[in-house]
Amino acid sequence: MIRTIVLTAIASFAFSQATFATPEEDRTSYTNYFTNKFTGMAPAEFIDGVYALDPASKEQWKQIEEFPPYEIDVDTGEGLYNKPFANGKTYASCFGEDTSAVRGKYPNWDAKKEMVVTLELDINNCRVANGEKPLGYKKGPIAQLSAYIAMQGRGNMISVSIPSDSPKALAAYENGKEFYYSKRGQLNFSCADCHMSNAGNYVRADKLSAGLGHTSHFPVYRSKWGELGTLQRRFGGCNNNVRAKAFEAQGEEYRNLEYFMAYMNNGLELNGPGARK
Amino acid sequence: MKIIKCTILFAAIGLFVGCATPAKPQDKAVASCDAADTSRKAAAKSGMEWTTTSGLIKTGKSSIEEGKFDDAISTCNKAKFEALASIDQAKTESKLWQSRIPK
Repeated sequence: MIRTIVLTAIASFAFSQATFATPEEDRTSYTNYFTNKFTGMAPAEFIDGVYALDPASKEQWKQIEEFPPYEIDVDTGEGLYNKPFANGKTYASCFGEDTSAVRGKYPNWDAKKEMVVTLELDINNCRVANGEKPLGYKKGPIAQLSAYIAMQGRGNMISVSIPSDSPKALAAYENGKEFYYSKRGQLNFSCADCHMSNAGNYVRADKLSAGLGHTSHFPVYRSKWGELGTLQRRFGGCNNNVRAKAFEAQGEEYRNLEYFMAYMNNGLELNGPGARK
Repeated sequence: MKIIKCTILFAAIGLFVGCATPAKPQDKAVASCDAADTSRKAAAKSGMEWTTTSGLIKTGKSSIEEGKFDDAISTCNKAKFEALASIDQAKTESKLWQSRIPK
């Protein structure tokens, strides 16, 4: 009898360890995966995305960053941020006076709403609370506002928290994790297939970036788009690439995915907005 | 009595003929595309719908309008196969995703 109880306890413990690693254990394993795969690279280097893995492209990118293609968008975003709403208030009434502190607060768990809240979602929450129409979530003014806020927050560290007293916050993180590691689409690829196992390998003419550091530099001006786009626009593009039907930007699936990915990047520097191919 | 017998006989013949009559090609094509759409909706519910499936159903429905019923059946059957494969993918992945987390 005692033997059975002991064996059951050991099996349960082993199962729980195998199945339910803590977010911090996940983050450590995730970071180690990349530092082991790309020997000699420190975690902080990964915030440059694919350019961290491709010295030749990195030189070109550095030159592009001298006159960045997102510069006009940042200026436009600043104008939008400071332009009063019809009621006379501005975004500062929602986000506070210190604009440099805004980017680092997202994504976060909103205990009242019991959901993950992203920067772009809160930009629209702010608009609606002030009687304005919400913006589209993928590009245009919301990306410009996000770019301005990201620029102000450059140099701060990613510091996403999962409240320990909220099982729902942990569940949202776990949902994001499941999304990240699940193969989908006709091509049967997960986020991890491209950005972990195949990071640094070529897909057609382009190198695949590492997942570590992915959320540090959004929104980005992509040469392919010829404009600025948000992180969740990119999620949709990635899903389409593997022929999986994309989810709605700022829907629960992508917000939880962003929560997981941003948590994996904790401790890395925010360096958005970025310029990418 | 004779009338009852005749009625039963005619009813039996009618039932036999009705069941034996093959469905029209158009009806078959419509049924194939409807079945594919039902499976596609189930795939969407699983969160794993493929981008190609709805396009195939659309093509199948266009073929019906053009009177190309065999093409429609073939295309919509392919769409149904895709939808079922994506549902299967969702089931499989719900069990396998954790095995890909780095230790």
